[in-house]
Amino acid sequence: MDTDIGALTVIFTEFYYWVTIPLMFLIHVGFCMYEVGATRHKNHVHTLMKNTMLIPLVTVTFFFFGWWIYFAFPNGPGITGGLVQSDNAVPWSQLMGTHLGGSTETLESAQGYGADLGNSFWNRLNGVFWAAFLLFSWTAASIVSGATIERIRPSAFWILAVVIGSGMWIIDASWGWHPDGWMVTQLGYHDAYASGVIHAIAGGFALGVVVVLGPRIGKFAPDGTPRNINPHNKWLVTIGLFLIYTGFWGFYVACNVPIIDYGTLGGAEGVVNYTATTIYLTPTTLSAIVFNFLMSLSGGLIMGYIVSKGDAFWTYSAGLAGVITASAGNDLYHPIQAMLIGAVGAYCAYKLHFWVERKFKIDDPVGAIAVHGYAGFIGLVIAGFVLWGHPATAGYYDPPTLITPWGQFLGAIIMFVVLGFIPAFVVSKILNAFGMLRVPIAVELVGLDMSEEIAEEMDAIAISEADIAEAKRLGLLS
Amino acid sequence: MSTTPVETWVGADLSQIGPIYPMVGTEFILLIIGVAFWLWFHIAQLRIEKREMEADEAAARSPERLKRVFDEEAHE
Repeated sequence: MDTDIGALTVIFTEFYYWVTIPLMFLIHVGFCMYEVGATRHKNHVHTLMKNTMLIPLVTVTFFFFGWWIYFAFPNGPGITGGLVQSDNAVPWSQLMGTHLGGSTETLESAQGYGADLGNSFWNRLNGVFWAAFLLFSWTAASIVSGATIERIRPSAFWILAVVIGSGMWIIDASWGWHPDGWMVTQLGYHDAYASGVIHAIAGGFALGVVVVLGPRIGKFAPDGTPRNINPHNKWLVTIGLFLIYTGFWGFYVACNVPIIDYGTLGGAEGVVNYTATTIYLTPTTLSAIVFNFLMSLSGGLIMGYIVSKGDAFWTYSAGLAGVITASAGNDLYHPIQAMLIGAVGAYCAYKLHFWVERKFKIDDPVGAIAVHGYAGFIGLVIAGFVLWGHPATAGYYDPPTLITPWGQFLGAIIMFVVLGFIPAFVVSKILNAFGMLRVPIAVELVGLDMSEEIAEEMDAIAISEADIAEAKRLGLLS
Repeated sequence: MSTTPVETWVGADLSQIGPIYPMVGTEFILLIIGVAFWLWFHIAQLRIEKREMEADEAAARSPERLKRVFDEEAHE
């Protein structure tokens, strides 16, 4: 901030991330519409409230500890080193509030990641970085929400939402979505637009919950044949998915650093090279992600339409699966590669959803485990082959760590199984043991909104009686 | 007197000014209050949910109401 170009860079970056936040907000609006549309009438309000209340709960916990985890855990801790001091992100930091960047007695400069940039960097960017990451947290929790509709207790879901939204996903981000994360520096893990760090983990987490939660009543016939519980309102589902697509623009843009001098990151000495980078501080462009987002979306939609024989719900979902599959490498792919990868991911997600449903009696009402989990996992593995040998680390790592199929495969296992499925399974088992996971059978049958509906009926009767009494008083009714 | 560290912007050198929220120095206390508020929600919400589930279960004991729910479901 002490030079004109420095000040402009920081303030542009601040505004850039700020713009991503309302765009990503649309993802949550979309998830709410999508889930309510997919839910039967008797469960609408609970479905809406379940997804809405994760917003404040994940937000406050992400302030309390989630943000700190991102900066403190790149080494594991205990894998490549200890905790990283992260003065900017502890919840009692003065930089976690309105701050003008000047030194104070208690905080001369933020220590840890970006330490050399100090307060004048963090005071402008801490809040917008925090919020951009937080919106990812909502998305991770919301993906799980969709898989559990119509039978999970809201109280249980909100505990699970905090576990993934402010715990597991941000640990995985610190490990695999951070320029110095141990998965990046040791495994060559590359996941530029979060195939794994958001989608595979959330899909794995959802599977861990659903395995314990069980299917909705009536989902499977006595012989095990799955029955269709169709969306209540296909239009709402459609608009919801369109909004999710729209919000993904913000999601993608938030994954980049908009402007940075590559000479400060290990580029050619004495040469000023301003560029956008990925979260790993490896160069890319906004054009790359615009090309590849749209081409992978198209690949997914085309394949989804064919494989589902024109089913609207699955065509839209396949578009999302296409983007998710290509996301790991969408900073680098050729657009036609992105399209083909999107198509492969959409095909696999669709086929796997129904195979797992039939084989293991898994009830995933919105296909979240397939669209996010399986597509994300497959996308990581594909990136390992297509980007084999490309540097995963920034220019200040010499020699660089390279992207490999085995590094990506191991990364996918860590995301889907280690940080996704296992914690969800364990927490769900504990909640289930205390009878706190699933609503009682009678409630599931009559619907989770019944008490609200009865109260509304009573209100309507009371108003009707008052109107009748008034009409009689005026002689309009005998 | 001001609840914030700023009493005037006249001649302010922003490079020398740090936090400007009220009651700087109380961050730990605010954190404890914030965490308590969060945990209070979970406890209070559990009580609300328990009452609601009991009301829902009571409603499910009415065959007429159940039949109405199932009829509506069949026509969705």
